[in-house]
Amino acid sequence: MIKYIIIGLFIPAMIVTLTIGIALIRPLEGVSRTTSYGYETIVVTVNNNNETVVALISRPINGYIKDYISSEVYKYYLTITPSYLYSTSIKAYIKDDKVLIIAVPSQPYYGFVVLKPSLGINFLKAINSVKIYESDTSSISNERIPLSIFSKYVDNVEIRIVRIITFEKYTQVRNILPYYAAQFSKYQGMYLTDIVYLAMGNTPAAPTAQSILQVSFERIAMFQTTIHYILGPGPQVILRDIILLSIIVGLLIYDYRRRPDEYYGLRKILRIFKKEEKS
Amino acid sequence: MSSTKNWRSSLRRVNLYATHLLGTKATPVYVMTSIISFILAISITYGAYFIFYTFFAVILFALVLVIISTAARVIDDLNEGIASMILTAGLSRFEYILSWLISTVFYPVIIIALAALIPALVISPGALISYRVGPIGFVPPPLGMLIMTFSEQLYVNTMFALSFGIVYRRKSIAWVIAVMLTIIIPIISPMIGVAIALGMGPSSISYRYTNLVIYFMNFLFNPFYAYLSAYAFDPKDIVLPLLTIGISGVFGLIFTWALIYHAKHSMEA
Repeated sequence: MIKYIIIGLFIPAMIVTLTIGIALIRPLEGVSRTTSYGYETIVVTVNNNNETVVALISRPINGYIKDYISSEVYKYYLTITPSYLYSTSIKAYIKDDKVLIIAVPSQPYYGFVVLKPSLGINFLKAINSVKIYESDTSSISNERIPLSIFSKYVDNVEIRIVRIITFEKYTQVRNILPYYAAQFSKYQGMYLTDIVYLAMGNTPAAPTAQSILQVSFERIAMFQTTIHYILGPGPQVILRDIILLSIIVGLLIYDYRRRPDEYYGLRKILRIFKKEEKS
Repeated sequence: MSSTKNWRSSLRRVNLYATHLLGTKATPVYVMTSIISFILAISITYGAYFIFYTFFAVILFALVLVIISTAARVIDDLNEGIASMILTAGLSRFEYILSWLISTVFYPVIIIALAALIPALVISPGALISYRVGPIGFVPPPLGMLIMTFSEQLYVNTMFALSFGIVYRRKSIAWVIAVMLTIIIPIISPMIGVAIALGMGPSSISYRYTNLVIYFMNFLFNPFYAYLSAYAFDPKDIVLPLLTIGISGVFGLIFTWALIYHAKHSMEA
């Protein structure tokens, strides 16, 4: 009977040991989930240096990440891939482009908003004060953000991804919006900052200025989030596996000594070894 | 001292005959147990036990059928007098029936439970009590409860079917009861649940109560299905799962006793 019990124990033990062995040589990695997100809020404002600043804020990602709690073996990471800018020539006019992950109880704005400089500066300050992760947009897609950093926020406050783009001071509309500049020829020579000021005002031109900004920034408002997992066993897991294997091997030795005839295959293997030793 | 010796020699005889059965008549149970252990161990090691969770009905049905088809051969042995022949070799009636139960019921139940427990204990013990383990965003019930109720259901279903089969000395009765428990009741109970929910009116609350109907139709003999419906009704509730585990556990023990008692008596005659 012990023989059959050993076989019963050996099947799961073998699978676990093989998995741990492979994971030790090369940690098993995979993708658990991938989602594309649009932004819930786009805030456009002007900073102290008269530069246009655009903050693109995602909807909360709590529901997306809360099921992934790392265990002893599974470790989870988040990677964020922002959408490419629609024209590579824009890069020359971007002074600063960074991605932040923020944790806030709720956010004050929704949809497309153009803020006056005083309000905008406070808003950007507020965003910076609640950030839990920050990186440069060009490098963030290569970074693995451990999900453990979100664990204390995930059940209490909203976790959002924010992309903040600061344009160079003397960026003209035609530099970053070539197609729109052709369509709205009246605005093509204007500085981007002036369009933002125009959008803030109550003039008849304000709606057109707003729509130019909205349509252009919505085109970059997309990113992809992916949750990766790594199966990498720690020392405790290896220790538990060794204990399990010792129990099985102990049982096997005990039963083999009592009834070697029942272990035909094992006996044959042992005989081969003994013959080799003799020769 | 002599009673200890008796127990030891009795155990030795049970061990010998159960081993003999596993190598001969009960081989299908041994093979099936090994296959299912393999599937279970892989799915739990890779944190993807939703595979097991999705196909549990098929796995359970296949296991019960193989166990019943093998264990019910004891009824043939009783009817054809083979059992009496074996008893002349020095085995007592109790030892004879216990050997059959060990090789065809206890062995698969224990080994399958271990095949699920071992990877969980080695890889991530948290899976046994946690709701959030595994590489896929899926929130299943705690693995420990799944293993416990699954093994219990396997045990209770086979014991219930076998005990009736032995009392009436007919394999077909064992088959009918096994099919009733593993297929008919689990299929009918959601139908009745939905019918009652429809009768209650088109509100979302009434649909939630279909789980309660499924629970009460299964909680005596099918603790696994009962636990799943109790979990669907309220994942944090512990009264309903404990009730089904306790009551069906008592039923399992009663049927084990009834089976051994009747088998012994039928061999007397």
